[in-house]
Amino acid sequence: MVSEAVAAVPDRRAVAAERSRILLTLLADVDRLAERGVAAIRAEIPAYAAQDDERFGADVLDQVARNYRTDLTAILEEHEVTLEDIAFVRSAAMRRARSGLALEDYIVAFRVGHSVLWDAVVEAAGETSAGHEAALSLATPLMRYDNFASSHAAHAYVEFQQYAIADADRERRDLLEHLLAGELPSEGPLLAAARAFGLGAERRMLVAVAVGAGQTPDADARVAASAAIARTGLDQARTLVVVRQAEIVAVPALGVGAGAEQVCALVEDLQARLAAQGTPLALGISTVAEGVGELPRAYAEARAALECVDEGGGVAALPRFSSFHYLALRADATAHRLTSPRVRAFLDEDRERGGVLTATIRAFADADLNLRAAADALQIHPNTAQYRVRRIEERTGLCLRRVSDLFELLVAIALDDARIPGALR
Amino acid sequence: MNAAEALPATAASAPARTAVRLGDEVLSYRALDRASARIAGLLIERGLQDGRHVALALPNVPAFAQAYYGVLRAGCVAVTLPALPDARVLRPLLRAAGAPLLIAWHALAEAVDASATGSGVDCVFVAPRELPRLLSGVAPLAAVRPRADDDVATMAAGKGAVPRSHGWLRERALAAIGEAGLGGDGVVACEAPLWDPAAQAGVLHAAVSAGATVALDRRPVLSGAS
Repeated sequence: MVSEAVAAVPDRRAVAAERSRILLTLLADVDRLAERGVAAIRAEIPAYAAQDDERFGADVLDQVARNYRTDLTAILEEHEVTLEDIAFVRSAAMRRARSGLALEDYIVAFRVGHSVLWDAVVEAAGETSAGHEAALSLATPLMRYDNFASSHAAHAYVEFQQYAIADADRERRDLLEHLLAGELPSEGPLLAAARAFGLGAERRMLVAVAVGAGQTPDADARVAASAAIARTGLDQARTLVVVRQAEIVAVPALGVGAGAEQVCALVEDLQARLAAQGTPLALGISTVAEGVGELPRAYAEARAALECVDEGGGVAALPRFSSFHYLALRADATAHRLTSPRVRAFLDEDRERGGVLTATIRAFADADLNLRAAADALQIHPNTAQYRVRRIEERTGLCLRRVSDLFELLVAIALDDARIPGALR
Repeated sequence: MNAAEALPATAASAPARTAVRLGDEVLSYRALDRASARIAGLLIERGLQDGRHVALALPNVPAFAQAYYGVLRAGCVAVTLPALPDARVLRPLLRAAGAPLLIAWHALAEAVDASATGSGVDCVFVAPRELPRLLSGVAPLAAVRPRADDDVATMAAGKGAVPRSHGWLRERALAAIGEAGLGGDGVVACEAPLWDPAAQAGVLHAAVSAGATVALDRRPVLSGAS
């Protein structure tokens, strides 16, 4: 038995010879082996199979061949693989990151490639015991190379991604500062970025400003909200969205199929969705800016609109405001003082009781001074409506059927609304 | 336990879900919770809490849910009146309600004023677009006032009306949920008048407890309004 066992152990020199033979065989056929590797990668990883760009395919083939060659040569020459040896992996990792290939897919490709190489080693080993021993002796160095190269690739991928994100963030911030100063960058990457966001000197745009509502949101919540706004796609191009200190600023471009009303509706949906997810925002939307030169004005408007949002959050969209309401919103203390004390007292007292008479004035104006239509809208009898109109006239000294008097009342109500968050919408 | 605890619980788990719908008017659980907190704050400001009666004369409109849960939240007893614009009906009911405050629908204003004259009852009216103005400056009552299971929560105004406790409201709501297999995506059509405590428990509170939607009838909101 002992002599048989000794006889079964192949001669060390024979194993070394087999090992060299296997490596040389594979190196001689490395291009075909790489093609097998790429075929396996495409078969097992859908993201690779989905790539129909020829340059991408050629690049993957080249990388697989280079990895195989470097791996086999290093083992044959018995030297440790260095970062310098696999410098080609780093640039490829960046290209994969830029192309949008997921990191998991990229790393799995290394494992698949390694598996194909190992199968080839076993195949080339043949049936002899020396061949088997030689193949076994290659397992550890092959695996070590795979770990080394894939770790380096993952590191390079992540590093590039972080750099790209930081760079894009800086670019967006710089671009926004130009735009809010009323300028379109004249050349270079910022101009290219502006175009990518669908922004041009004469393009019609809106400005939306968002701040956290309710509890003070942390910086992570602002970034998450900013990403959500950017993902929403407020227009057909990507939307420029920047976290700017305590606020988020978005500049959606308007175009065919993306009018101001559609953008306002999308922003409202987004606000409701974020609030449901625990990130309530207060959002102000400007009127339309007719070109970059009007963006400073639009930004100031969007910020001013925030003042009409409830404390719990919501959207104040100036494109939906009438000029009348906007004037009320921007009215100063003098405008409030110009309201007749009698009318002010009437409104204060009526508000304390729930605003029954104020509702009647609004309904009367909305019905174009048609008392019956106003009564229908309020679901009250026309005689009741008539009675309320008489009470309003007695209390204010104004006649609702006289346009100037009705206008004075509506202005006073609008000024009152402007002081109450949520009322003027 | 105060039955109104169900509202902030549902609002926390499904804030954007529709609580009450009447035609195009939609009230989310978040909005219902906030409005009820402000109405509770309004009651507290007026010294009304824990067992004090507050009369409600509201038809089947979303504001009913806002006011109702505001009253319960403050620990008060909701004493409900039918929303009839007739002072002859309202006067005796209001007297029987024993409430220092009446929250009424705006369309009843003249009938309510005629009923309440000389009674010492303070009246606040709910007109949909005016509600934010009414509640502006009122500090919301975020927490729900604690009540025992056998404390009275609601009763219909009038002689012989049976006071219903917080425990009764919860039990009836749970029974209704079980019978209807009501879940968070459910919609309960409400045709019975909400001033009836049975409808409050079996429809409104069942829906709020299950996170479902109460769909109100679009018919004219007042019977006898014409």
